[in-house]
This record gives sequence, structure tokens and C-alpha cells, in this order.
Amino acid sequence: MRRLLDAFVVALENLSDHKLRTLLTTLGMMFGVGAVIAMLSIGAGAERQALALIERLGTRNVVVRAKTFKPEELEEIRKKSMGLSQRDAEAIVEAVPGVAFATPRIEIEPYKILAAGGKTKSQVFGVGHRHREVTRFALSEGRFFDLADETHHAQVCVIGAAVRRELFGADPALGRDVKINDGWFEVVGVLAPEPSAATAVQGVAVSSTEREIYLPLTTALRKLDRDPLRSPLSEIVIHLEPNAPARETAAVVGTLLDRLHGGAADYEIIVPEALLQHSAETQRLFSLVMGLIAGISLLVGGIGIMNIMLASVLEQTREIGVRRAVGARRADIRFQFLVTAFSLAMIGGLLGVAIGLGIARAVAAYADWPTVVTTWSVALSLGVSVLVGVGSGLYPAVRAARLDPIQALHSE
Amino acid sequence: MTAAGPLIELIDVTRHYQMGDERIAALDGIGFRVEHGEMVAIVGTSGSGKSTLLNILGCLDTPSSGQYRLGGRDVQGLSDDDRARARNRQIGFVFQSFHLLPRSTAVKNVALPLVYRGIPARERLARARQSLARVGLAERARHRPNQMSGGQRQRTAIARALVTEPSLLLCDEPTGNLDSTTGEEIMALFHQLHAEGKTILIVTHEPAIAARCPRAIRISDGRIKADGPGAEVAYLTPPVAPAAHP
Repeated sequence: MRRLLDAFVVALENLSDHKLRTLLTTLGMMFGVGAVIAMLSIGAGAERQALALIERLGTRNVVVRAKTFKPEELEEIRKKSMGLSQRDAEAIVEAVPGVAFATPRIEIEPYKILAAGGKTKSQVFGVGHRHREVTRFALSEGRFFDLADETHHAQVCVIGAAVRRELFGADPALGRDVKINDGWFEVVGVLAPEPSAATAVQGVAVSSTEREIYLPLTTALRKLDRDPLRSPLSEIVIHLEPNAPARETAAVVGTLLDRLHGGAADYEIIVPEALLQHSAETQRLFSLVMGLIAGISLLVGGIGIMNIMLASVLEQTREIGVRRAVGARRADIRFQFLVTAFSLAMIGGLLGVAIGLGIARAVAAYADWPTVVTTWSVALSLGVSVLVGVGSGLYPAVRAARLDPIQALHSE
Repeated sequence: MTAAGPLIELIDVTRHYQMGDERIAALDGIGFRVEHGEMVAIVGTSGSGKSTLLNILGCLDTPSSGQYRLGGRDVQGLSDDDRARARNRQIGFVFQSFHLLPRSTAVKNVALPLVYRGIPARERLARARQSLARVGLAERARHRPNQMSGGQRQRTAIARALVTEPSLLLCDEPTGNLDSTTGEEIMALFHQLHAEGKTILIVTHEPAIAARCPRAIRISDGRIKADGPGAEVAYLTPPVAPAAHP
């Protein structure tokens, strides 16, 4: 222990005698480690976001979503198929095994949303009352609408956190009315705020609930006009039974819908579970590539350390001779050089961690990408850099230890 | 280490070097004893083999044949590590060019041998200061070698050699890089240490130095040519220049 401490003191003294050289030597390590940490933080951030978005879709769900078309295409498509409809939802529940229930959703383009307190822009959806069961809605106030609201075409709505903020500010929102297009709706619930603002994963749009307003499907169909050419439903969320396989069930749904829609591909089927796997694969590939880049840059850093260590063996030959003369064993000399190499790598590594954290934070702040610096990425890159450092210090250390003390003493 | 028996005993020591096909005998059957508390000069010209002898005596090198016993213990059978230990515990080196670590202060230089004994830093520095005081450099402890005169540097080196309380002080041309006045001071210091009971061996090519030692061993061509009182041996058959009187 004392030996280690002494060796560190000597190593740090040596390194601080050549500050510029030390800095330049550790540069490779520094950027290597910094790059790894920054990249992994971006990767981890992207993954976490992807997971959150997939989670929101619901891994126990299969989503059938109506495609949007250009007007001229739409007319062609509509000759074959009417688009997604309540009939599709019913057919799926009836015919596809493993489906617990299906809940429809329509999308409305509001041209006007206002309340006593102000106005806002928002997406408006009409959904079945069971919609709450298929997504992870968290309500911060009030309630979601129920079957009774749906059957009575109740003019109620549940609003997103951002919508609430803009319409009512700090005032209470429950019981107040919101005007959407030409209808008035009473606020019965407010959704909890969400941290993430991203809206797509693997190219599939996933909306944030912050700027959304939910109405009972029946109310929305009756009170708000929609383009008649549009698909009657925007989306059917199919909830699976506990043990039903997602992909297989989705395939059966696909076959069924293909028949019902006369072969018109006016919908897409999204399987969040498959997205999850896909995302994990992407992440694995990303990590592999990163690992490779990291490996190369750390290798370069290691070569730098070896180079400078070899130079300092030459430089310190006399000193090595003196140390040997006063009683240093070969092992002491070797140890000293290894500790110096370790210190170099550690300095580089730690500065690299600082740079990595800086980049991660800068990316999060300026590029608006979420970044997550994981402990293991720091531990891994530091660990590898130290390993590489000590590894590349090995040969110089052995050379230093092998010096003949007599020749070393007489070297110039 | 033990008081009984000689400190140094060399029996028919040879040391060969292989130079291509040629085998050169640097030492060719050297044998002598040095008792505890002696002050001995080993005098010879360059190429006489005295440096090789110094390396062997200092446990930096091992004889090709023959026996070297230091403090009653055979050295030639020792491993590299054991010889390092022997250097650390039994021998204090004083070199011609001081061999101080240039970036370390005097006190740190002096403490260096104690590092390899696993002594805690605080104690190392305390003992190093004592040792510096012994050679009259107590107030120079924080100076670096380049802030000191040649004499001060050599005193620092002597303090380093003394710090481990070795049984043998092995000096290689200790006044060779010093002017004559300073050289005299260093020699006076050696005499003082000798008076305190230290065993001192001085390897030199200067007869004047050898003449000031109670005993001198003259070496030439790897053999002992003379061994006796310094004043008598020092100027015997000078191989190069005619004898220069002090």
C-alpha cells in the first residue's frame, strides 16, 4: 500500500514535470473516452426515448392505423375500400383469436379551440371509453369518460397538460367549458404532463399527449364534422389477451383486414412488441459500432502512452541506475513505470469523462436530443482506458526494469 | 553485519568480458580482505579493472569465478533482488558525478534508499534530515541539486549513502568532479566518518587521494600490485605519468 502510494507520488511528480507532454499524451485517451461516453449517452437517450414511446403504444397492443393519401390517390382507394371502420374493429374482436377487445379512435382537425381563458392549438381525438385501458394515461385531475358518457354522447373532454396550461393557466380547469369548432365540451379530466417531446420511433408516429384533447368517440362523430372521404376511424387499438403472441395475432389481423378492404392497403399494422425488438437490435448494433470506434481511439491513445513511456525510459536511464544502486529491485522499477502509465491513462480517462459529460450535456441542450450518461458507460470507458494504459506501459516498464544498473549509471 | 570476521573478503575473484571472439579479463585473480572500520583506497589507472572491482564490491556485478563475501555472506549466489537488498542495506554508494535525482530536493534525494525499504514517508524525511545534518547540510534540505555547489552535491550524495546506516561506504572517484579545496573537504568528511567507525572504500586513480588513506590497494591489469599503508602504496610504479608529489 505504501509502495503504491510512493509510486503514485513519483509518477505524478514525473508527469507534472512535463505538463504539456502529459497533456498531449493523454489527448488520445481523453478524446477516446469522451467520444465513447458522449456517443453512448446519445444512444442510451435515444433508446430510453424509444422505449418510452413504445411503452406508450403499449406492448400488449397491436395498432391498426389508417394511412393518409393525397386527394387523387384517395379517390382511387375509396373505390375499393371505405377505410378503417367500426365494422373492422368488430370483425377483429370476433374473428381473431387472442384479441381481448379493440377500441377505435378518430382524429379531428379542429379549426378553433378556445375557452374563457384563452385559445390554443391541439389535436382532437374521439376515442372509445376503453381507450384508457390500452394506453398508459395518467390523469392529474378529474376522470376519464366512461361508457355512460359514450352512450349519452356526453359533451365532455379530457385535455392534455399543455392544453390545460394554455387555456386555463393556473385556474381550475375541471367543470369549465372548452369550445372545439362549434361545440362546447366540459372538461372532466386533465392528463398528467409528459417529459418527452419526441413524436416518432422507428418511423412510426407516436404522439405526446401534452397537446391533445380526448372526446368520447360517439360525441365526436356526432358533433364534429369530418371529411367524408377520410377513413371512418383513424385507428383501432387492439388489446391482446395476456398470452397471445403479438406478431402472429397481427398477421391474422392483417389477413382479415386485407379481405375486408378488398386488397386496398389503406392501413398499416403496428406491433409495438416488434418495434421494441427492433429498437433493441438497433441499439445493439449502435453499441457494437461505438465499441469498435472506442476501441480504435483507445488503442491510439495506448500507443501514445507507450511511445512516451519508452521515451521516458531513455530519458530516465541514469535515474533508473541510481535507483537500482540504492536498492530498487527490478520489480520496483517495473512497478514505477506501470504506475506512471496507469496515471497517464487515468488522467486521460478522467478528463475524457469530463469531456464526455460536457458533450452529452451540450447535445441535450443545443441539439435537443435526450442524452443519458449511464454509470456503466463511464465505468467501461474508464476501465478500458486504464487497461489499455497499463497494457501499453507494460513493455516500457519491462525494458526499464531490464536495464543493467552499471550501464544505466554511466549513461549520459 | 556481524562484527566477527572481515567485512569484505575476496578470494581469487575474476571477471571476464566477452568482446566478440576475444575474452577480456578485467579482473584476474583478486583477493583481499577489509575489516570493519577500515578506510581503504583502491588505486589504479583507467582500464586497471578498478571500476569492475567496484561494481562487484557494490553488488552491481558478480564475479565470473572466485568468491566474494560481504559481511560473511556469499554474494555471487544471490539473486538480482537479493543483491538489490544487499545494496540497500549494506552499501552506500558515493559517485564521481554525484548521481542525484535532478528534480528532487536534497532531502528527497537522501531519503531515496529508504523508499526501497518500505519506510513511511514521514520517517524517511526525518532520517534524511538527520543524515544531511551529519554532513553539515541541514539548512540545504530544500534545495535542488542545481541550486547547490559541487561540494554540497557530493555531501548530499554522502548523506544519501549514510542514511541507511550501511556497513560499507563505497566511493567511486568521490573528488573527481570537485576542485582541490572542495575535494579536501570531502576527504576530511570521509576521515571524520572513518573516525566514527565507518568502513570506507574509495576507488580512485589519484595517488594523492590514496596516499591520504590508512591503507591502499593498487590494481593494475586486473591484479593486485601492492597492498599496504596508503602513503607507501600510492606512488608505487606509477603506470602513466611520472609520480607527481603532493
